[in-house]
Amino acid sequence: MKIRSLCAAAVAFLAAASLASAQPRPDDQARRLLEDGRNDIANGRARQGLDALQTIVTGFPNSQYADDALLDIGRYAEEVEKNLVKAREVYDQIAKRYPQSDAAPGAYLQMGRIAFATAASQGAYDDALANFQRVIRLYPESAFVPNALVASAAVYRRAGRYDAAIDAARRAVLDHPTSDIAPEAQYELALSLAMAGDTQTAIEEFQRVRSAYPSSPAANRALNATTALFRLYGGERAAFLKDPGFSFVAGDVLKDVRALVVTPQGATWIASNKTKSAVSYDPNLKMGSSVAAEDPQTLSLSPQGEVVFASKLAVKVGGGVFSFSIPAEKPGEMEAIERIGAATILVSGDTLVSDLKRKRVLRFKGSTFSSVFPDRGEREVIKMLTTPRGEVVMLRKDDKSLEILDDAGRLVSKIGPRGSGFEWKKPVDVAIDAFSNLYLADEDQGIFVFSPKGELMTTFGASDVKKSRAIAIDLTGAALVYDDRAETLVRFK
Amino acid sequence: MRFTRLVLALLLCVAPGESAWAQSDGDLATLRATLDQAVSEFEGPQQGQSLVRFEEIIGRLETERRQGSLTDAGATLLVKAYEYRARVQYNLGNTDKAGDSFRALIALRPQHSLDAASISPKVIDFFKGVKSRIIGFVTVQSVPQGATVALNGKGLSVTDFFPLEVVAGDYTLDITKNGYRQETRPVTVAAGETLSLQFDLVRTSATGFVITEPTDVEILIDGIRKGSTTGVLDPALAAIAAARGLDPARSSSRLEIPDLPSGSHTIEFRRPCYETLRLGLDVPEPQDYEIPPIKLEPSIGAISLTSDPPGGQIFIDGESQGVAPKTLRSVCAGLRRVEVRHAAGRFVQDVDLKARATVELAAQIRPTLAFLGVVADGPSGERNLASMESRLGRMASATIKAMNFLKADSAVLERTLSAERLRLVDLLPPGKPDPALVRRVFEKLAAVLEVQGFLIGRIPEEQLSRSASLHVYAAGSVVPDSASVVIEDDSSYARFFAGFEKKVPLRAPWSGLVTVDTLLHEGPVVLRVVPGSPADKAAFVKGHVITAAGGRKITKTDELLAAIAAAGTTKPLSITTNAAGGPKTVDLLLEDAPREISFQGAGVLANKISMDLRQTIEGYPGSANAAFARLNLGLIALGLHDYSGAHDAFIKAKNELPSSPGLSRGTAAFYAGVALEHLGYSKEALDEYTQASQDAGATLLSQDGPRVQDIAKRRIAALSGAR
Repeated sequence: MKIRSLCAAAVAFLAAASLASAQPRPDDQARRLLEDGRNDIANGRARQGLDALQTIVTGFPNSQYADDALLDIGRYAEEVEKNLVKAREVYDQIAKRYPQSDAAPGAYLQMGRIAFATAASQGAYDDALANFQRVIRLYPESAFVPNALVASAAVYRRAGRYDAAIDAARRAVLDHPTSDIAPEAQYELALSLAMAGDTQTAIEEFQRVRSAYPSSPAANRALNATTALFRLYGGERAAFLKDPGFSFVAGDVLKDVRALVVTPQGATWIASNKTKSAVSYDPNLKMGSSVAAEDPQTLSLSPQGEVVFASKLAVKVGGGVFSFSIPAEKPGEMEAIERIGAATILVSGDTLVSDLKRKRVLRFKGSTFSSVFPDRGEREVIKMLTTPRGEVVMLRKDDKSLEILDDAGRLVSKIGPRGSGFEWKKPVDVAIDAFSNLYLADEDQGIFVFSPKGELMTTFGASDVKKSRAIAIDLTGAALVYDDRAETLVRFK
Repeated sequence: MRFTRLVLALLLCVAPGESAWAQSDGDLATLRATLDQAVSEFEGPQQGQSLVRFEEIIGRLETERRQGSLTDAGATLLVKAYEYRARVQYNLGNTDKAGDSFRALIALRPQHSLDAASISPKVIDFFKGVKSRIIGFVTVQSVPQGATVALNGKGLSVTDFFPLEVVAGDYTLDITKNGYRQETRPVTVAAGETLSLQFDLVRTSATGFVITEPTDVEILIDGIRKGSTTGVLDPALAAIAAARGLDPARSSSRLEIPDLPSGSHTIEFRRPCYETLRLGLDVPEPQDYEIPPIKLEPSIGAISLTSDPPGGQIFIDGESQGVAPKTLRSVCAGLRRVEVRHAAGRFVQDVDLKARATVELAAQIRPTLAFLGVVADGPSGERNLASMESRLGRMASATIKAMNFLKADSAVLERTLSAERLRLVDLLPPGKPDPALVRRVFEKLAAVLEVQGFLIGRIPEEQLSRSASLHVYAAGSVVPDSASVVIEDDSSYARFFAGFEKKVPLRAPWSGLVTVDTLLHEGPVVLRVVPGSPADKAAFVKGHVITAAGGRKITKTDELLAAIAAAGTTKPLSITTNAAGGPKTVDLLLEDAPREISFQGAGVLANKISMDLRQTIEGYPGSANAAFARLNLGLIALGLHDYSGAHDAFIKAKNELPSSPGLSRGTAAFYAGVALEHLGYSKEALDEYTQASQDAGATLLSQDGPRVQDIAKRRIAALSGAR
């Protein structure tokens, strides 16, 4: 009897073991779900894919794929849904629940990037850097380290800590020459050197992007950069010469042009009061999309590279059109801004709007009034730009000057109306290049080029342009100047 | 019980030969012991008791004799037993039996005699009396002498011999000699009488005689080996040898070549390292032939060897012959295996050396890759193990040309791994063994196997997987180059092995021109010119736009660099510039300059490059190239995150590199700092960066690369801030 019982127990155990071995292991199930989820997202079935990923997080939290699933969810929230708050929460969850996982450094990297995307203060920079440093110090063997180094360099660069930026980028270049981000690291190194004023070395490092990574997207940008830098610093003096081969015929679009801008993709936008629109032209000068607006004022770029089109009554950014109002003197009432003179988007995401009626610059979060910027003093600002460092350049009509202020409204520097070797008569537009050099268009005197330190580098166009009205700098650093009298666009290469 | 028997029977069946041998040997020893006991009793007061033991011995050995299995030792024992038994019987007064015992003894060994010093004269006389009644004598003479005489098939002696004692009786006598007809005759030997025989032998075949200089010459008749000359020459023949030009002191004794049948023959004289000599030999009738003394001429050539790197140990057919470069003037002609071994690798080539010819060999030392085998992670892998091992070995041998390839001695491998309590799989990824352990094991293996790198295959655990991984380690490396192959697909192996053929030069032609591409110029524009460089000497200046090089249009920097790389340093490269004064062409003689080698790119094997670099380091110690190789070795280690190995290489490079502008001591110091920082030694890293920052001319990447000083200063600032 005893033997029979034992045999029965053994058979039962073996059967159970056999059944157990037939069931997929949790890790296998989680892996399959991860593959399915990624596949669904890649093929446009986002909801289904996200559900699969969420099932891993909730159903298999101890599997080795739970952290990967969370990272994918976070990236989707960040990159597709543009929900940075949610993304940050998800990344934070990875860092706390799975600190030893492969995804943890990726989560810290993304948290740093989110912090950096809107960082405009030292505290925000530090927050971003802290996350990047965690990747570098806590996970030194992680594949995310070169990305963290490059991201750190970008933070340092925006913060104006160029030596630290150069060092971080150089580490990425030297220590991770085969990583996917190596071309960007090399580009970041060159850019940081250029911003630091070491333009000779910067040109060499930009050239190294081309030589070491000739087929990377960064190689083309590097050629633009070498062109721009060589024009400015290659000779004894920066030299802009009229491009005789440039010919641009655009009918009414080139009449009463108010503003120009060139996007990071190379499209040129022209805002014309004649056509009451802003029209885009691709790099081959083929006409593209257009936006209608009453009384166009300025064109500029947001920190993300979107076109900011200010017209008298509204500002168009990306796919949205925003009109603005501020509290009236009577409590509870709002007054619309009816004479917008210029607008720009700050790194923090806030919008600055120049109100020519009130002679003030106003700060908005979305469409909600935030404050007067930088103070209650009167300003007739007819053009505003946000620099790569997150500063704001304002062209004032009232005192014919350029004011450069930080995100908090502190005056960084002021140029004009006169200085060493120049005196503006009627400044009408200002543009900025990739290296923060400023190009001021004077209706009567052509173009004045200033270094980031505010020193006059050169002037050009006085003899080629009868009446400068608008200026833009293209990707190669060449200047496009609208001659209001000749109603033509002149290129200085 | 039955089972036990069966086992015993089986055991006996398993080793019958060994068992039989042990018994026979043991028996003899037992009998010897019995004889000793019996002799002891014989010598004692109870002599008669010894008889039983002598009987026992005789009984046992006689049985063997009758079965024909009696050995010489047994026969000697039997003779002694008979002698003692006879003496006991004689002493007991039983002379009849004593006579029988002596007769049996004499029949067994007719020439036997008793020791007169220890045995009673009475017994000796009695023995002689017995003997005289049954022994006769035989003497045989022949012409020629030297014939073998046998009685009833048992050898007696060689003619001519004096009378020998033979038990009286009827016999068949045979007399034989090589080259002569055998004679057979019935004979009767009468007791006490001497049978005297004389034979004139009839010749049936010829015999040749030869002397050679030197000795040890192999003689073949019609291709069949007949012996080799040996010994020293009989002084009586010295004059004959000398007359034929032989040195008697170096000549052999006279070799007899028997059984030469009548007819024409080819006689061949062979000795390694001597010219083989063939002669015709006519043998018209069976008689002696004196072949004229033969002098063989040496057959040697010369091998003149240089090695790259120099200093390799030369081996010809495995025998050490000194150090390259060297000319070996006395190498035996024929197919010789020439091997040059060096710490950096080896060179092996089979050479068909002709006599009096000189072969010049430039031995390019190549690293050697040892195949350590394939490991399988599971049972399914085990099944594929042999076929993959065979395929891997075959493909590597067929594909890898830039290295020597050999299968490692598995015993050596086992021994080395056992000493570290390791299995081969423990060294492979994805496991994370202690880097110091990996380095030590591979360095140890490299030393004992005299190789520079290792190839290992691994079949993963997956049941359905048909793929495997290959791993290549350079000696001293801790991170392998790895690739996945399809087990049954030869091409997947070949793709990986193609990486072994890529050689990355340490130096490249260099102009000193630093150019940049812009959209403003039709060609690359000169950004700067390195002082003292070829371009500087050729008066290039900033702003020159280069439009052509070597007669080809140049539109961008990469094209210019390609033209420079292809130009070499022996002929000038014509470069056309578009300067202010119009187009101008300048001939630029490029320099061969060091550079940091790139180990990026598909198919590039960092470990193979490491092996090449180590070859330069080992092969040219103290040279500038060795120092640059060391620097690059460190960079590869750095790239593989082997910071300890990198630091070691950089520190050595720092001491070896020149302090001139370009890649120099400052470069190595900077990289040593990088390695130290990765290892967590911030203070030491700061010291290295400080050293680097003081080298104003040092660069990274190449002679015109980024300035170390600037980079090091930023590192110092970053580290100082962090501290």
